[in-house]
Amino acid sequence: MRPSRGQVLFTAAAGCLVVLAPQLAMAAEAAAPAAVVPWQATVGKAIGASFAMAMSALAAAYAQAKIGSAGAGTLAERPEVATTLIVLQALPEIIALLGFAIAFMIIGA
Amino acid sequence: MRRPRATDVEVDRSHDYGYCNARIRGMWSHLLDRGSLEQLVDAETLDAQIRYLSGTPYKADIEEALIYGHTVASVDRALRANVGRTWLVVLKILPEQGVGLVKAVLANWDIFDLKTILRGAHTQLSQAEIIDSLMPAATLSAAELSELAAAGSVRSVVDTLATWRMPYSRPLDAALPEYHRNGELAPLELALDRWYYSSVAARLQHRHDAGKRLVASVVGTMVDIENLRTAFRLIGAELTTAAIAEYWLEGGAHISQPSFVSLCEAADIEGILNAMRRTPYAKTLEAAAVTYLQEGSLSVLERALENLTTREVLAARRLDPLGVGVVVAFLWAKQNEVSNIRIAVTGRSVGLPEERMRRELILV
Repeated sequence: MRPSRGQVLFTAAAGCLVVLAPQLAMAAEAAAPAAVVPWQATVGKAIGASFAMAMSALAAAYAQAKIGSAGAGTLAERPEVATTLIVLQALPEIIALLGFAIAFMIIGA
Repeated sequence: MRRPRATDVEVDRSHDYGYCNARIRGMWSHLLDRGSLEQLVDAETLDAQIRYLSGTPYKADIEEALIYGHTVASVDRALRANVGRTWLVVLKILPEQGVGLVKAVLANWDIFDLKTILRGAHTQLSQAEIIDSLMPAATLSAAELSELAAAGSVRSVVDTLATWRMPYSRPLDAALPEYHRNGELAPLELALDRWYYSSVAARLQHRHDAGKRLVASVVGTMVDIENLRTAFRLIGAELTTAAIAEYWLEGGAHISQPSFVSLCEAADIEGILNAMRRTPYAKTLEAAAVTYLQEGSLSVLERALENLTTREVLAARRLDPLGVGVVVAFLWAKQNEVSNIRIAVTGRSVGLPEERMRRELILV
């Protein structure tokens, strides 16, 4: 199904935030004296990390909803493929894990 | 008052084909494969065939129908029950935007059944004889088909449809005076075909998706094939050009009215084959022409064209894998499977040679 214009704009805006927020934080950190970490850097990192986590979690949820819906259809006719479907259902968790790793890297930067 | 019908069922529908198509693909995996149909043809008696079918997804329906005896009619009853239930499931799980297209495709079998009933009523066949020739349809229930088959005359069939406020009654009613004048069924059948193809075109008019393109292409092929069938039958008929043009069905993909007229004016089958050389049907027709020349029966060519339609529709699964194409292809595959089973079972019961049965099957 084609995504709506709103969905595309939301995804683009969120993507920009994910990319730009850590850079803003790092820029703020570089501009500040070495000894004191400015509050803007901490907030920037937090925003970047939270967006990385949130977006990846949303993406994983969307993928799992699609797979779950198709999986339910398949299970109704072929219950013998349940194990395969559980594996497929779990696959998008990788997206959330990657988001978590990126969030961790942002916080630790 | 109009009776509520199975297709009136309203359910909460998703707009996503994910669930529907995954389930349809699951149902597809239960269809009998080529090997199973071969085994069914090879079974030596009707009882052996029934035993074999009892080991397939038709088991529950066969067991239920066997209380009426181990007969071909019982197998038919089981097949009809199975198909009717399958259509209901498909219509329930279908996303809203696909319902119209799928109902339009299903109506194709209603038209087939109505033509069969009209022919039966015209030739004064018994209710049982007519019912034996019907296909399981979706919008007309088994009880309705049975009542129509018992109508006794063409006029009564049309009146019964009008009483039920079925849309099919309008074109039939309009063509009835001509039927009474000439005593020929052709105007009624033509009116039904015209109504069906124009109603499909009307449904497609306001859509702009892959489903529209797919169904339009399938319907275009079906119209062409119907026009070709008419052309085969009109060979040698001494009709005027205007009279021939009356038989042309609009909406075909490759056969325009002038080319239809020139096809019908051909002196023989070879003339038609030559005229069709530049169309996608040439290969199929040429392959079937050899058998036609040996047997001299038009049914060989008609069977080849049916085979071609089935292949075209089944290809829809690949052309529109995430949309309504999978559903349309499944409906056709299921109906084709039922036809094949009926050929095997009826063929065995009337002592048809296995070779002949195999030739009649449409294996895709």
